[in-house]
Amino acid sequence: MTNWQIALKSLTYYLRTNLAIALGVAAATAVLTGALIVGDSMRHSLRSLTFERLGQIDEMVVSEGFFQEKLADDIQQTEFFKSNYKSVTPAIMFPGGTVQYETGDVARRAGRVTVLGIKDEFWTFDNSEANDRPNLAGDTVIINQTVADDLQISAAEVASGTAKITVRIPKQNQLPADSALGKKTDLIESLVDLQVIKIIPTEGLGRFGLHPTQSDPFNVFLPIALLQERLEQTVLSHKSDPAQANVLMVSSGGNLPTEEITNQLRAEMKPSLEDYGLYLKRVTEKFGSGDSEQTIYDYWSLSSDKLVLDSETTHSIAESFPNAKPVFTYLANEFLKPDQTSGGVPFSMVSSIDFDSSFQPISAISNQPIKPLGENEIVLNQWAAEDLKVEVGSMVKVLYFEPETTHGSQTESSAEMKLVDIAKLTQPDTPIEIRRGRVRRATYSKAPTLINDPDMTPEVPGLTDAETVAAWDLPFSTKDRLRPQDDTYWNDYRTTPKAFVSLATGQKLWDSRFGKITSYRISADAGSEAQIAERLLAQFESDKAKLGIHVVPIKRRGLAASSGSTPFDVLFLALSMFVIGAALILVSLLFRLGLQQRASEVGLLKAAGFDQKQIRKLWLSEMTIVSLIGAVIGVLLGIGYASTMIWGLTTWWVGAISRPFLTMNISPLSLIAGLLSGLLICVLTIAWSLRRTRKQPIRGLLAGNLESELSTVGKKRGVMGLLAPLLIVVALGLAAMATQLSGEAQAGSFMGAGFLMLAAFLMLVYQWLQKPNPAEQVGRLSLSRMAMLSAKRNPLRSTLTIGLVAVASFLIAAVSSFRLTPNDAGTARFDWIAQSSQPIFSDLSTTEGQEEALGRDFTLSKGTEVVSIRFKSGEDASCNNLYQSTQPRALGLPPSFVSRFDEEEVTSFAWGGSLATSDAEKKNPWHLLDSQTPHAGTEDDPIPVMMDKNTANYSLKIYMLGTVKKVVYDSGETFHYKVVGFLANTILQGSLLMSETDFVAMFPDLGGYQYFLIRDGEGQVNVPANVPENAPLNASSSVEILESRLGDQGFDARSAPKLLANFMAVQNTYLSTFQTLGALGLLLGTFGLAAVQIRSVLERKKELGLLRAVGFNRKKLSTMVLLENAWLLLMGLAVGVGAALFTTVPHWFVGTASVPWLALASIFAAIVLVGLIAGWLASRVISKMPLLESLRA
Amino acid sequence: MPDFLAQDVVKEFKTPTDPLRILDGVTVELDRGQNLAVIGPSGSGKSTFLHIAGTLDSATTGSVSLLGTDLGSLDEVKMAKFRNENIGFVFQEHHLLPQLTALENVLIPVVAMGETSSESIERAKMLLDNVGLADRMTHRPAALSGGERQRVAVARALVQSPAMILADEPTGSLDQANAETIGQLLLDLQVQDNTILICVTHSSSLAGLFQKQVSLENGKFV
Repeated sequence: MTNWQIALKSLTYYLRTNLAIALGVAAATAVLTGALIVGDSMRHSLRSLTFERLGQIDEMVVSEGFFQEKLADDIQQTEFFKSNYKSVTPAIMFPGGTVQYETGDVARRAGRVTVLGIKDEFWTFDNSEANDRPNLAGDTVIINQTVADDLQISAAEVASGTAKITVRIPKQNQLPADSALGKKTDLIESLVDLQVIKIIPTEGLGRFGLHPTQSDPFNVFLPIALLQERLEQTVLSHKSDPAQANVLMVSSGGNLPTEEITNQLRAEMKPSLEDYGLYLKRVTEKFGSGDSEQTIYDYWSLSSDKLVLDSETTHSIAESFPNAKPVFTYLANEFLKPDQTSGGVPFSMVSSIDFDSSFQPISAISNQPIKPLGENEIVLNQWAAEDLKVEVGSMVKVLYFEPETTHGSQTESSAEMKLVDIAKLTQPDTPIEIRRGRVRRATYSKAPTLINDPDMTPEVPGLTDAETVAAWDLPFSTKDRLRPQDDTYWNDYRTTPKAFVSLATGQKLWDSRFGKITSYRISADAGSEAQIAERLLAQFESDKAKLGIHVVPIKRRGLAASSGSTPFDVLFLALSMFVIGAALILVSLLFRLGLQQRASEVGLLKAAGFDQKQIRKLWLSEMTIVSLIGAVIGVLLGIGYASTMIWGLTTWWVGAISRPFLTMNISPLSLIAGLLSGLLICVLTIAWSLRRTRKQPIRGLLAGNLESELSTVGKKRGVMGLLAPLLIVVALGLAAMATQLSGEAQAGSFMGAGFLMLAAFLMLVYQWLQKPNPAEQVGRLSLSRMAMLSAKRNPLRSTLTIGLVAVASFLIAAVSSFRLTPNDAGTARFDWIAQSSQPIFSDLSTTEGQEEALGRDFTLSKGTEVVSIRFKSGEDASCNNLYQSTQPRALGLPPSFVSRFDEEEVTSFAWGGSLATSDAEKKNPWHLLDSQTPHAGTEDDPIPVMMDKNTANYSLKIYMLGTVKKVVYDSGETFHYKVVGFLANTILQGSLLMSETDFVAMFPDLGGYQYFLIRDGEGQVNVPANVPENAPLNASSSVEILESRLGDQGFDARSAPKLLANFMAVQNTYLSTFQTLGALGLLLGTFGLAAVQIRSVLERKKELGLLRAVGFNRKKLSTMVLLENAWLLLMGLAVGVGAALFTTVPHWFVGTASVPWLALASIFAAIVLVGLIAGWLASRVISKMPLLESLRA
Repeated sequence: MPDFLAQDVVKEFKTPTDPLRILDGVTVELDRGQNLAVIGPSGSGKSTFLHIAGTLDSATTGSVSLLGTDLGSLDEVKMAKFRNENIGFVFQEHHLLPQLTALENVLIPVVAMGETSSESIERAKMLLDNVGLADRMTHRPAALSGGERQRVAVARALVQSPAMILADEPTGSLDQANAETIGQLLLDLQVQDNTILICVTHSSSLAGLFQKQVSLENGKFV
């Protein structure tokens, strides 16, 4: 007979006992396996959603502007593409569109809609099985179900042809809207009466989106040709070919392209200068003919469709053409004499250019080349000097608008300069003529001069092509200043500069975030157009300049983000730790009970000559088989447990994951890992329990006593007496540390603290249970005291039983303490948070701004506060997005936002920590964002940002204040930021919060405001009696007016408290999930308690028989057992809740924890009830037991 | 009517075939101050008789009365109360509760009817003193010898001043010296408290100390 044979025989003989142990092992394994499966399922579901969202699209070529559609054809022809990719399709994409649907008197709008102009081949990229996508042509549109639901468009309406919608897209302005000449209104192109021909499910490419999110996107699909046609006269007016796109969708048709291939794809693409928004124009002026023909000027002018060239482009131009001459032309509002306030020369182009041999105007005074200009020196052309009636040496006051605007308001400034010369200008015989876009140059009878050059001003649609000065399409009024002679000048000279200053002077005055050069003059000798373009493009390539066309590895990035913002397996494992602990205690208890039952067997084996090692081996052999059986059952139960959790997450707890996208995915690896880890920890627990037989005398064991009657109680009590307080101190330290940590580190510290606190409390309980009764109490006997003394009879068993209940109680109580409730500190008492699809430039906080944005006589109610915030779209990094975020959206907070929190009476947002050092910063940490000049955004000079602690911890994986991190946006912006403050559970979750100064420096092209915090005022709103079109007829609140009047811009407000509650619901839902885990632990605890009690009753059969013999009736005995059970239960609750309270104390001080007493009391009342029922079950055993039989001699 | 009367007591146990008759019309009459030793071989029904006499078991037919009360007429609650107040048991195994002290173990029958009082504690102490354990009152069973444990059990049997003491092999697990001590102690206390004492034993020397001895064979006293 071998050990294993003995083990197998024992296994079957003690089947019931072993089955109980196996079930304990199964519980531990099930929780472990379940947590791993939940993690697997979450990752798999997020990955699946990425594959669904992108279909076969692996890469996206995205551009800030438009490029020729034929770029797709060109790249497709390359050998590189053929060997690495399968197909490509061009598209026009506007992520910030709005859609309107009108039925009867009701107009419904959906904002933040992705408008996609596609070719029919787009649908071939779809992975879903849907093959009923109708071809798009003419004024037709396909919408996804999300849009249809929001606008309440039914399939029947689509089928009947009555579903017609208006799609509004941004009309990209050539000039940045925040620049002086940039338009602030009429920035929306409306595509009306588009026929909805199909509602597609929000599945497959129906849920296409750039950013990874599990939320349903709003998508509409139009024919690309329709968008090209509508935009031809506006956005695409500069382009030589109207067949333009702003994205390419590329598919490899199979394997995901590597990073190297992605980079190579960008290198293989050969965009033209025009695709980059650059225009190269040969500017030539010749006079005379034949041999006497003289060249007045002949050069290549390189300019941008955005009027100014950005710094990266200018850097590359300067590198490739070192001799290229930069020109910075700016519009001066007026030239005045110093003593004049009006009546000067209005609206003149001033070119900032350094005079040298390549460009040296001739003086009308000396007829000599004019010397280079110094600082604050100016040269007027003859016309302007005569018109202003100034002479060389006099001072000229130049009025101009500041190059950047805030809230659309222009600020006029002035500079006084010394007139150092007057440049010669020739009046043309026949002026320049522009007809239907074709330019006929001026003709001269006298030789024109170098400055007879209107091309020194880059083309600006609405300005340079205007018939008259009065027809200039500018964002400000010109008519008050214009005089008849200004039209004459415009007629003769068009945009020919009236004045010149040095480049340094011009850049000092008019430098802006958009740039400080408007064009370069490249010598005509530099080569042909093609040669210059080739040289420039090569330089761009070599500089890896970010000129607006980027390849985004969208699928690779999406899959990387699928690892999730939260490692669900780790999270569930961490919070299941206590359940696993409870299961292990249960295993230990059940095993010890079995061991007690078989104590004489151990004694016999010892008596027969088995040494401790052999006995241990024998038991472990048996228990390994038992544990293995339990672990296998546990794995199966784990699948069921995971399935229940996933079902819960898609139903009761859907708040935690926003939408029920989660599906079960079982990885064999997780099953094996769950099985092995469950087996291992249970066998180790059993081995630990077994060690107690080591020191028992054989006599005692033979008599069936597992516990030594002469145990080393005193020694242990001494050790525990020292260890327990030490553990409490360490636990409190850890708990205090947890308040300063975040994310998983915080959860880990908190749980660690809880674990230590529980251990310490249980040690104290154990110590107390072992303590002899005080002498004065001896003899004071009652039923309840007898029950308590029964519990004290086996201190370790009772401690473990108490521990079993305590761990579950701890989890429930601790988790409850962190339940969030919306409060003013989460909203800073803002009532609404709004977002618009298109930027709004007016200052909605002023009456003037409100009238400007909303219409004359529309004003918001008195005291309404609107904080306008700049907005950079990006990934939602809030807890509503389960994907890990790498490109979070950014908000630029205006100075007024920062300063409003200086007021004592203003409610502040809740802070989760900041790097504030000065008193002012400590009082108002928003000042940490202050800076006079923008930060560089480099690693050495990072941009200070604030963010919500949850955003930082879970989505961005930032745990410490002061962390510097780099962000790279698909649109090309790259910068480092430093976290200087954490907000705690606020409505500003999910974004990087930076100062407006830094924002505009980092995102110079983003004009206006798209994010708004609104605080309701008092009193009535003002709506004009003569209600204009689209006016809210029954508007009773400011927000209703804003939503209605700014509907075209997609203005959409949400209740701030509701949004906060929504954010908090995520955390609260997680807490509910973990409370359920606690309840599961409690269930184990209750089972354990019942099992221990029943075993205990069986074990004490003779004693109970004696009690019956001496007059205890069954009811009394049952009561005694019930009391014993209740005592253990209440002790368990007290220890668990006590440990939870102690552990959460530091969190109360920092305000991150509060106890929902009522809810907690209800839960524990339920626990007591369930526990007592378990005890009652145990006591029921007594009534059926033939107790008196056991008294027989 | 005698203080204790067991009349024509029959006890049968069901078996797969015929009922097994353990007691076959046993009759015993005893008054206070009298004692009886029941001897007989193993399985003769001695303990069964004792349990029926002590209301721990019921007779198939026949009747048992103590102090004029027909024990068969009592329900469970009344029977437990009656037993508590009128019958004291001493078993072969002491059945002491290990978590309680000697004094507390003696007091257990008091607790069955409510809480201990200072009077009951005093009585328990006196009994422990009587059994020679005055200096062991606060000791737990683990700290007592076998003989001492059984003396505690004797004291426990007497704490409610019962009318009858039933001892089931009270010296069965003790050595000769302790057995004699316990036997004599039981008899002394019986005389002292004027109770009825019925003792089931294998020991003829112990039985020899009793006023009456009966032998149980084939279910009948001989």
